Amino acid sequence: MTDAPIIAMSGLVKRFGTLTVLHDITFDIERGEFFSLLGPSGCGKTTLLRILAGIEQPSEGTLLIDGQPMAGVPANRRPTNMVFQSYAIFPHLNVEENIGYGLRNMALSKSEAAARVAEALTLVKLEGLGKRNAHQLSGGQRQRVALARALVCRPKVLLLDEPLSALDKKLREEMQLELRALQRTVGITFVFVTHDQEEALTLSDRIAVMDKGHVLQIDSPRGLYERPESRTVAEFIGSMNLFSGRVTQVDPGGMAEIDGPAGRFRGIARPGLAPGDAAVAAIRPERIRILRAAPADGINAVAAALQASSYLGDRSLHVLVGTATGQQITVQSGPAADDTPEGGAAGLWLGWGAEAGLILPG
Amino acid sequence: MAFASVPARAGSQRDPAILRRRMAGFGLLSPALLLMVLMLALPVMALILMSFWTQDGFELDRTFTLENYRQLVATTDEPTIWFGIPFPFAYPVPAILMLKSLAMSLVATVAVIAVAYPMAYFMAFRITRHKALWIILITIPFWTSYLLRVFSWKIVLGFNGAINSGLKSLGLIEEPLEFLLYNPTAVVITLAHAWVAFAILPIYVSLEKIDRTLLEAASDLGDSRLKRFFRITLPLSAPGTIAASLLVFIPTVGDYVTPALVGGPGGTMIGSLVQDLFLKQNNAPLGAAVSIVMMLIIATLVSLFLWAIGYRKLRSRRA
Ligand SMILES: Nc1ncnc2c1ncn2[C@@H]1O[C@H](COP(=O)(O)OP(=O)(O)OP(=O)(O)O)[C@@H](O)[C@H]1O
Ligand SMILES: [Mg+2]
Repeated sequence: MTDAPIIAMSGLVKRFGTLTVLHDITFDIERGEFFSLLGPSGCGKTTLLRILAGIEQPSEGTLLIDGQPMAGVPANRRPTNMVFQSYAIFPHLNVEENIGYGLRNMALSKSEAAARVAEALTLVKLEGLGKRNAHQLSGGQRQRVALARALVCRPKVLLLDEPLSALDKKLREEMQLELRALQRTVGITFVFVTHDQEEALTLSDRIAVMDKGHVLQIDSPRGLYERPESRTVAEFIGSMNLFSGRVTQVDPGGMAEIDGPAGRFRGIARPGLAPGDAAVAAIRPERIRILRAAPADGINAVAAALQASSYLGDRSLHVLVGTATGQQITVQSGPAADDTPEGGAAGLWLGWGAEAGLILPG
Repeated sequence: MAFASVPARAGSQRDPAILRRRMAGFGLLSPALLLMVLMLALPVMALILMSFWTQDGFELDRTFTLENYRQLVATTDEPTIWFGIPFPFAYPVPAILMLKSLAMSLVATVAVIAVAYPMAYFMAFRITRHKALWIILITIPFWTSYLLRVFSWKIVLGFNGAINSGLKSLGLIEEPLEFLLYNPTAVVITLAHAWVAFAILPIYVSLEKIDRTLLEAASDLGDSRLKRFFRITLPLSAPGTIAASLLVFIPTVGDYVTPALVGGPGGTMIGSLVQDLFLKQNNAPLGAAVSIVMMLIIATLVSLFLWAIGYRKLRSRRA
């Protein structure tokens, strides 16, 4: 039974009074996975994590951790440990005492516990700081103490609530790499909450994108980026250009065509679309090419005028305005910059291949 | 002017800006400072001075002498036994009363904390709405005078008081219980009741300040609720609890109103003796000496206590 999911949620609902903050959450998290919950502020990520930890009780639904039903199991008897958003370092204890806090609740000898604390200090690179008090630590060090304090208990699942959000950009990127490496080393399942999509893409094996208490899509970073299933996910992960219209044609091969004010578009269709449905054509900035003349077939072709370009070294970003609709379109080009429009800003065309775009319900 | 040409050294004490700021500080302090000097420092100094004089009949003998202090520590070969403790003093009353006062205050303080802590805990953790109302309710006893509160205990504990007549009408006792009033227990009960409200507020503040995620983290790390209380809540509320204890202990040691009203002959405390020496025995210098010694003993005990529990460490850790 070891490949059964470590966490199985089914129909989880959470209400605070009349406010429903989680709607019918049903999905599994696999053993040893680095799993992220990604979503805008207030979408219920922390609430879901707290339900997993046992700090909050679900209003409805069942939760299994390692095959065991968790109803009525308090936080102190769950095989999970949490790294809190604010770190929650105990101010009256030093670093060692903080890290060893949970070990006191286990049947461990003193020397065994001390050895584990020392090991954890090494793991998070805090050797020699064991006797420091909490208020003598920097933000990054506090974060490591919180991490070590949870890891040292060797939970089956480690829950992390935006542990990097309080750090500056450089330290955050450093800690991201360390966190990922650490997860590989210890092999514990990580459930990681973040509202930073780049962070989620960098770290995770799989990501659940949440919005307003719903899980919109669960997929690998590549899957989310290349095959978003909805307009919201498409807009949330990376940047995406959207052209709205109505479905005119659905091919059995999985392609569809839409017709809208900006033109006719063809792309890989979401299953379930039927002619007449409202839909959007979605195309990533780096998949669009800037052309001097209209493409022959008139499909996936948008007349546009250049508004601004910015050179970013490894790439250039161009903002164009569609002639027909006036909407802004972002285009990214490579470092060679040979498709950077030098001549005139007006009278340009944007084009892309049918396989590069998506047709999504919207 | 001759020194007008001397350039002002920046950052030195003579820097006019710094000087002005210091003066402003004293300006702000001055009303309190004036009050403290007039109402506290001067009387204490007078007391110290007087303790080195002697009473000669109706006259004060103003020659400097340690006679009063000598009298307090003069020993004898026949120690007075009080509750099995030998007091080898020729004049043992102050020493006995001192020890008794400390013991009674200690019991009262423990009782106060035992009552105040759960109430403060309840207010901090269980009350979510109308906290201000609860705080106002706690202060209601202060709306009546201390004397009235002490008298009301007389009515509750008295020979024909509420408890006795209540028990009698229930048929539980035939005769009124006499051990209720005019003894040390009555003093301790009255003192504890009078000071509970003072203790609740500092404890409440220190409990209220505890970050709730610390408690969640403790649970997450395997603590049961009880364990979590002893490992997190209690140590983090220690500064408030210690402050509350001192706030109750220090003033109650010297109280003389409560023993006078509900203490009876057995419930006298050191304050009663001081009052007696000043007003009845007409020996103000000796009374002053007793007061000074009492102050020194309390100051020493409190310092020892704070040192023993490492108060400085506690404070620095809270930061
Ligand atoms: N104890 C509570 N009582 C009432 N409402 C709550 C409570 N806790 C959370 N909420 C509400 O539930 C919703 C989700 O909150 P949650 O903290 O899970 O968001 P989040 O996704 O973690 O956001 P953030 O990224 O800002 O941390 C919010 O609208 C919040 O106001
Ligand atoms: Mg949150």
